[in-house]
Amino acid sequence: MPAPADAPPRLRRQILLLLVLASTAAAALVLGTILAAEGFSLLELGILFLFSALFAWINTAFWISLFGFAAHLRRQARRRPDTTAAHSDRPGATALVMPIYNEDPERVAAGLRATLDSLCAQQPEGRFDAYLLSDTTDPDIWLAEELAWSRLNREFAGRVSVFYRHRPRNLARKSGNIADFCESWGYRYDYMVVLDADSVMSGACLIQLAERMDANPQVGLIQVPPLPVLRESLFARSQQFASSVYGPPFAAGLAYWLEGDSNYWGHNAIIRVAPFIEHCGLPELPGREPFGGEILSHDFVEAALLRRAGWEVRLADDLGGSFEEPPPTLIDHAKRDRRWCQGNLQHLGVVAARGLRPLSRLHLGMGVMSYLSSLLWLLLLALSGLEAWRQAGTEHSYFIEGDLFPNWPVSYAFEATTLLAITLAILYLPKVMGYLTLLADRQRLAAHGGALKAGLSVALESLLSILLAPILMLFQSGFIVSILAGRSVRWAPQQRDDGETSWHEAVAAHGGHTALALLAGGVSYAFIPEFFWWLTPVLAGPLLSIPLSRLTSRADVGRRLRDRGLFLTPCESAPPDVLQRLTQALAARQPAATPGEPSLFEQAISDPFLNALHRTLLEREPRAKSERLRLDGLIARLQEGGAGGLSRDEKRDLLCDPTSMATLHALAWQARESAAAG
Amino acid sequence: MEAQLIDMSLEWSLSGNGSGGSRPATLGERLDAYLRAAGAEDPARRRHLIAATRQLLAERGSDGPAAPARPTWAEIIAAVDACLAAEICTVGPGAQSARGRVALKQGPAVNPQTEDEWGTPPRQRRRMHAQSLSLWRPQFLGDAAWLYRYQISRSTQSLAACLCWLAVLIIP
Repeated sequence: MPAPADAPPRLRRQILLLLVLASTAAAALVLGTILAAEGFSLLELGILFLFSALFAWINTAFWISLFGFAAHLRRQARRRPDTTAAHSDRPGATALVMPIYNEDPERVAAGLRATLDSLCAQQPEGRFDAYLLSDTTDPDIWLAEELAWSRLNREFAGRVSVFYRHRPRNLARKSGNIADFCESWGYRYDYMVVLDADSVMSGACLIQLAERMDANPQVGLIQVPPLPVLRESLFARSQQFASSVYGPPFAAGLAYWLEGDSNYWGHNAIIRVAPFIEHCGLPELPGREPFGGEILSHDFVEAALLRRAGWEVRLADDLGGSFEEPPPTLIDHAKRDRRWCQGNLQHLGVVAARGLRPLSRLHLGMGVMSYLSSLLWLLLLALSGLEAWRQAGTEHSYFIEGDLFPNWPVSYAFEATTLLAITLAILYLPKVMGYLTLLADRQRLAAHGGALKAGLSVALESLLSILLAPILMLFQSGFIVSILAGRSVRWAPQQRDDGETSWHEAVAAHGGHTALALLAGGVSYAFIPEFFWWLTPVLAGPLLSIPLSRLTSRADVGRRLRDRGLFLTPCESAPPDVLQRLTQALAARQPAATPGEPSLFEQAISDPFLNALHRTLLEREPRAKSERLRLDGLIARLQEGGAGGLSRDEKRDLLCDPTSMATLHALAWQARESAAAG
Repeated sequence: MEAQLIDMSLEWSLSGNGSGGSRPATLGERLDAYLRAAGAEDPARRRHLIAATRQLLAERGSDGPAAPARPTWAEIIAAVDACLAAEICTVGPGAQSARGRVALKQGPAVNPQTEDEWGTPPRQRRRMHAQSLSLWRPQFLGDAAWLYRYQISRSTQSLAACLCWLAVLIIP
């Protein structure tokens, strides 16, 4: 929970708004003065508009960080435990729900095992159950999930009930998966903790969350900021370091500013089930995809709906023990961004929905802006280039007809330099503030490698972000254009292991960026050389994007830097108990199937245990006669041509039907007997 | 992989204990092979389950019009499941009848959940109704009903029309 308020939240927000507006207005005034030296052109008005919008955007983040920096330091100085949670006479029942979709079952089971082990070690008072909610479509992954579940079920027998449900039809993707849980088993629980497939949460954090919900009946949702961990590539480790150093002050700022008007980030959050069922059913948006149809980024909308119904949504920035894994490479990051970009742009159709709180509208708007800002930045660069070209082609006239005195050119170098310095300060001061919070806490500083190495890491991370930001800007601008062109995103699982980017992948993903950088650099150098030098920091990243993407994806580079104490985080130098458990569970996970081994689909047909396990987990559905005939046809095809003759969907259809699986099992034994008898 | 594919020894067993491969396997050998593949490692236990399944198959055969001379694999598996249900755990109908095979592999003591909580607890449907996200419109317009409240009499309308004509004629 946020620190106890010194000023009412409304006043605090007004102050913040005033600061953002005033500083943006001041910056716009300075730029306006420079541009208006010879009167405004339409081009210059465009530049002024784009600059003001982008400045307001980065400025908001700056003021949030500044407030957060103060709040974080104050909390550090007091070292006071949070007192908002109290023990309840009747602790609520909590379900840990993990929606999964074609994820690595061993990784999923290892994460859940670590979380449950940590929870059991804390001996919670309230009841905790766990649900693996599968929307998996791949037959072999589905069966592997069942095996992983059966192991978890045995392991936690008598301590935590672990349930498994597979949905044959993936209606409404992840939000539909959660909705199915709420509709079916929500009646058993007061709260649910939503976990992502790579989420890990400590038992202490889970218990604290449940206790806070018990103690604050007006709270509908508490989000714990997840810390990215466990990846070893250079890209991922730089992200992990940035989140660990700059994240806490920023989260403290958000909590300080937003209080009960906070947001939901889709996972690592506890939700009060009854109001969620009552108020968070998601409609389909009118129109066709990509803007219409199912709501992709459901989390922001669900938070807005909870707020509309009067429930508080909070950010528990003071709680640790909440982790996730970041994308290992720049390309994987971009792939995830593609999904998020469409989901966030879809919020344009929700932001003006009736009855939403102003701050909910702001969250939705900021989500849109987080991607739109890239396109605005690209436009600003293009317009600035045009303006520089226009200026270069215009000669100053010292003598104007009818005027006695010469018209001396006025220099605005001071104003321009000041504006640039302020913009850079706004961009980089949050990083400096993050570093200062480290210096103020010896324990945290030591866990990040000490003052010198943490400082070097901050410098290196800043350099990397300077190079990577323009590449991401180009990626995101491309995504926006493709979404506006009507291209929708497909639902694919995220890459969750340290897979390095090959040269081929890097060229395919960044060839366009490099070509664009060469073109922009060449044209500006040839026609407006002064502008070219201003542009070099932006051009460097895209120009080097192919080797940069490959280099940053390498886990050996990340590990070498870790051995030298760079980008070190507390989760690496002194891993918390739950992460140690996860590492152990990952080390002990079952090896992948060997190439000669039959697929799990084939095993589910022939092996008595796997066949029985699968059948007992199926929900019996009445089937039409025509469907039964179709399934019988599939069985006949399977007998003739083997499993390789069936498509993935056909295998899944057979797996969904307990009668077909029983028939196939008997037929497999019959066939074996016949083959053995010759 | 936990679920091992039935190994070569099973095929050896099915072909009649290696005695040339031409003799069809007896019911006992078939049951032995199946139970071994299902995870019944202990020979004594297997013998016990084979006897119980045989007994059940014989009873089922005697109930029908004629006892099957050589039961099909579907009948054998159904009988094994029924036997395991009686021996290891009480199970429900349909697909749940195979629960005994799961318990045979995993051991009877490790079934933590009650029968109706295997996999998932019983469902109790409570619909999540789709919320309205219809767009907000400025409040002062509302549904524009206030516009309809104004009614102008015919004489006022005539006067207004005359004034308009006058304005058109005079102002230019």
